[in-house]
Amino acid sequence: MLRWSIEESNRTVEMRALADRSLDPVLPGGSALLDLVDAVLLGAGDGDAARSAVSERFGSGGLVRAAGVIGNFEMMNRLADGVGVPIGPSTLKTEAKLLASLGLDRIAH
Amino acid sequence: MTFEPLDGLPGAEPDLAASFRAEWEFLAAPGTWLTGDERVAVAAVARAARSGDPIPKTALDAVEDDVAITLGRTPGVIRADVVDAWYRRGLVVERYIEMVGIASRITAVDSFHRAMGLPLEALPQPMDGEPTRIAADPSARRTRRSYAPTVGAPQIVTVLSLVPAEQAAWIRLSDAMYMTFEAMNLPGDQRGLHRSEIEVVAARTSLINECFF
Repeated sequence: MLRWSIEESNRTVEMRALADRSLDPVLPGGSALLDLVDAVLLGAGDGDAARSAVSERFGSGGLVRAAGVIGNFEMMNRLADGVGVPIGPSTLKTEAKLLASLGLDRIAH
Repeated sequence: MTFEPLDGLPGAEPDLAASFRAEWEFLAAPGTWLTGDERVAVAAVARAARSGDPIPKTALDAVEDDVAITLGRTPGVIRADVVDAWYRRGLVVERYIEMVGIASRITAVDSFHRAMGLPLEALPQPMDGEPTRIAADPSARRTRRSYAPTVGAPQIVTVLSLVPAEQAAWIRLSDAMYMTFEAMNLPGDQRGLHRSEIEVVAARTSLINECFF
């Protein structure tokens, strides 16, 4: 979905920055969004500062939206893990380079 | 009134609070295979596990306690052998699917509150009554490569289809927190964020949870 959305909108995202936080995601405001996710899931950094940064960059609607997406994918990840939703062999093959660059090839799917 | 902090919250659309309130009512009521007491117990155990709080003593048996703790705290460790071991200890597959749904949705609502810096909503009081036991059509069940039967091929859109009420509940919540299936074809701005920004948040969340689907 991420790759499709950036291709459709002619935007740029450094995908490796999703896994390696020392890298610049390039997408404007991307670091603020990643900081918010890290604050919620990892307890990293200052949560209030992360919320303020997202709100300043994207407005209050953007903050609510980001919080909703975090919550939604906390749910989706548990649904997929709990029931064992398989990744198709063709997807694993076509996305092999991306998975490796993000370090996801070590995860059993 | 539940979820009062969401009323008038800047940037929040009304359907978000409405979806959370609907979820709380659904959680408290008798389910398809679990009573209201059991459903709220699953939510309480999964919430405590996800929060790192002491696990409350509930009426759940030992294996269902383990399931709720794992779904809340470490869902990434769930593999076929883990689920098979739970089945051997007496876990009933239909109850398992209902528990997956409950634990997943309580985590969604709680994580939203954490992200917004809001206190967690108190769990609802369980309602009396018997489970409906409305099952999916046995002839439509498939088990290829998943840990439980699904109606149709196992994929994210059919993940809880063994228990139709649970399937409907996660889609209802996802429609409000993420987007509808129809909106997934839209690459532009959606409720405050561009689609690429939404997917950056989704991808980082899934990566931290070590989940790729």
